[in-house]
Amino acid sequence: MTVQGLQVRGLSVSYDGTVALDGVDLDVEGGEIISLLGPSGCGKSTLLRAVAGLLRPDAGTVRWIGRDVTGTEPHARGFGLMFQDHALFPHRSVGENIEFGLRMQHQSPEQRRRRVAEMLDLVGLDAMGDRAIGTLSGGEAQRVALARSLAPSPQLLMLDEPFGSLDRGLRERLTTEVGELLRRVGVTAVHVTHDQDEAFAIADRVVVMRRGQIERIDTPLDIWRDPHTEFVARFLGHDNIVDLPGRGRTLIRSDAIRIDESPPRDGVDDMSAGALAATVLAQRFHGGRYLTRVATSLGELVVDHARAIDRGAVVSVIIDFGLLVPVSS
Amino acid sequence: MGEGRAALGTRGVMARGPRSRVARFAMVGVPLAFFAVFFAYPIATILDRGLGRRGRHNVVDLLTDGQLRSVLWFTLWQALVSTLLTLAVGLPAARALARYRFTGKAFVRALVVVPFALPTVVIGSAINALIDRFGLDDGPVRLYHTTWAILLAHVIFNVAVIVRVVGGYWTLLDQRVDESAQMLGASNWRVFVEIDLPRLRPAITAACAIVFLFCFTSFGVILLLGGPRQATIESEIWRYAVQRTDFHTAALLSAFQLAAVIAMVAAATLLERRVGRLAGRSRVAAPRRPSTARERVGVAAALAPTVALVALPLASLVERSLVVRGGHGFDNYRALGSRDRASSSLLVPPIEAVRNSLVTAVVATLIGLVVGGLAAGAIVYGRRAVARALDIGLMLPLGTSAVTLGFGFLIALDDPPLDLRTSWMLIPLAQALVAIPFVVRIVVPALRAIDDRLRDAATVLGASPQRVWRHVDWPVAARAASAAAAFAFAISLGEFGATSFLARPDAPTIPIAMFRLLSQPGAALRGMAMALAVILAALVMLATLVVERIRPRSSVSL
Repeated sequence: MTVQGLQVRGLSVSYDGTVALDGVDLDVEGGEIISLLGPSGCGKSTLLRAVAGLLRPDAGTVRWIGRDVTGTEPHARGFGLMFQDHALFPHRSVGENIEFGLRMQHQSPEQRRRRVAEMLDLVGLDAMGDRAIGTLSGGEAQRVALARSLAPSPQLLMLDEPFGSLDRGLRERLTTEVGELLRRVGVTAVHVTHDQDEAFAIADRVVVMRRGQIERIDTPLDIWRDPHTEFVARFLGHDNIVDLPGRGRTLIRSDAIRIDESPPRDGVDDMSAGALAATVLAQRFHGGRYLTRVATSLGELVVDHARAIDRGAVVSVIIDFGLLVPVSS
Repeated sequence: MGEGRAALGTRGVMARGPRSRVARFAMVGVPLAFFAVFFAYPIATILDRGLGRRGRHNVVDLLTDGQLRSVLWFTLWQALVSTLLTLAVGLPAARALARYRFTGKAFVRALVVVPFALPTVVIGSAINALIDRFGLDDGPVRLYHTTWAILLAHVIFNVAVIVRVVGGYWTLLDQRVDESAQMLGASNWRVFVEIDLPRLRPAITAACAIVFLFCFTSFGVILLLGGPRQATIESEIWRYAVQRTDFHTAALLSAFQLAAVIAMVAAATLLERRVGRLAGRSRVAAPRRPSTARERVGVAAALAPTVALVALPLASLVERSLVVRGGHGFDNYRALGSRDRASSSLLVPPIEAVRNSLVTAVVATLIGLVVGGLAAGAIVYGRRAVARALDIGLMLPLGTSAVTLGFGFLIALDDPPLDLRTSWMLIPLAQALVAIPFVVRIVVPALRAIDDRLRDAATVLGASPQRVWRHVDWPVAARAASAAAAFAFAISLGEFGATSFLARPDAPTIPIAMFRLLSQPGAALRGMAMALAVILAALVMLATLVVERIRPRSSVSL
């Protein structure tokens, strides 16, 4: 079966003896958006650059719709790439930036003019074609970069931490917007980020990477619900990973745990009711609610709660044992 | 409490630096007096003589006199062609050094700047050696007494400016902009033309302006390599003044040269302002190893011309200095001690020139250090207006050609009130004048780089202003001054333009002795000149190495 999309096999890259990418296999279907997620140094950007052709792998192949492009120059691959700091051409206007790839394709001036207008419209920057790059806000520059990389209709679009330099509010808004836009255009996209919220918001499938290898590939929901390993669970922001008697290493997701402000009966754990006696250690106000750190017989846990509780108060922590998943360390 | 903080935070107004009145007066007074007597007065004398109506030629002749006009024309076009050739050779090398990592890179980087650090007479001699070595004085590829020899010397000398200025800027350019263009379908060549060149324009403009200025005011190279038809404004000033003693025409040419240089500096400044400065935000990507065979060949091909142009003449020079009848040996060096062998060109044994050069350079360095150091102090610690005036004023000798300075000394300081004509001090004074701008440029940034908070911290800890100066400023200043001294020493050793007007026949410096030896026919004299060139090059390289070792960071590059 030929894969209608990107096929990476055994890709390895090392810098001066340090292995950055260690025999990675990855398939991306046509029209799919995947996010490469991981801490810095995990190899996600290296993988992206090797797929783009900006970096020559030591071993392995990159195929696009069955065709081996491992030795193809980056400019001849027909892929698009969008960088974190936009990397716009500072000496060209907004329109000229977007037009660049079209000129490289030898499109006629008339075609180019139409396509540039279309792209400006697509990213909501109509009538800004003549603006100088230096006058753009962070969000505008981001949209121009997106328009520029989409203009030549790349078969595969890569986004390298595209929202990394934006402030939080704008980042969240743009993430949703870009995700929708990419689906509307129907482009195949590989997106690199270290922010799990961003990955979850944009991706059909998330690839979690660690030390040059792929740790996990799955849909955002499945990964979040069952991360398999403690590394993935921690990276996705799960707080409560405990040793449960009889179950081993276990993840208590935030939807499996809550606080009841009345202490359990007799002030001791009631396992049959899933209730643990807990002492409130501290609270942090976050997103209109309180992240509450409590001490229990399982160790310290972090539980989301709607109201402020005095430090030192004894409460119940209710755990839904049916939602617990094991993780390997 | 509030008052105390305000006082600590105050900058500039006598808050820093030495407190004593004498010191403060000396910092401003000494440089000003030196500048007035040894720069302003000679230049004024040139203008007076040149533009007065007493001479054989007047301003109009510059445009109507066929001979003068051809001199102006040659000066202009050789500078232009030299600059373009230097750019063509240096740009690929700059790219290779900025973008790639490879074995021997540090060596190539160091090698490229060697000619720039060497005196022009050494470069001229090296080209002469090349001509001797490969028999280029006749035949199909003739270099001897041709414009090609001059262009070649200019490229060799200046390629460092392109490689360092443009290459340095290149490493600061965000490489992902290039990669974006690549991903949008641009080949390497198109990336270079459409993305790199426009972004490099500030650096290319600045570097080309410097190179053009150097070539326009080139003197030693022209005198050593040019034939009768390769005459530039500088060499003509010298010919009219020294050989024909037609001071009026020389002064006229000097005045024109001054005006031309001022106009060029102004034009370059305007151009640089229009082209724009270094883009503020840039992310530096580490250079990478060339990954494919094609890339490796490309890097080698980009560096080959520069490396060959630099290495070949220098190697030829060393080799030529060792050539004796029937083989190689140290005869040329030994002959430097004898008076007879060189008697047709020099009144003293050539080795005397080495002694003269060393003594002159020491004195020039001391003068330069005292005047330049005081000026640097005034610029850093003085009132803003004084600082600005000195800062700009002391750069003027830098823009004025050494030939003009030497000529100005010759005609201004030869009769009362200041008759120094017969004093050997004229030479170190002129050389100090050339060196002072560099001293200032090395010391000022070092002093400015001292964090004010260090001074504040020392003050809060109970140090008096004198002790703050001694413990915070002085260590930095001393280091910078040592570097500046070595730099001034190197400049003084190789100085040819001004010295050629002032050196007495019985007291030549090394460059003067080399020039005299080379202007007479005879293989033996040539051999001695080459030996002197190697000695001079070694001395200058030694001084330059000292500068490199102790130069504080954040001061002038190159």
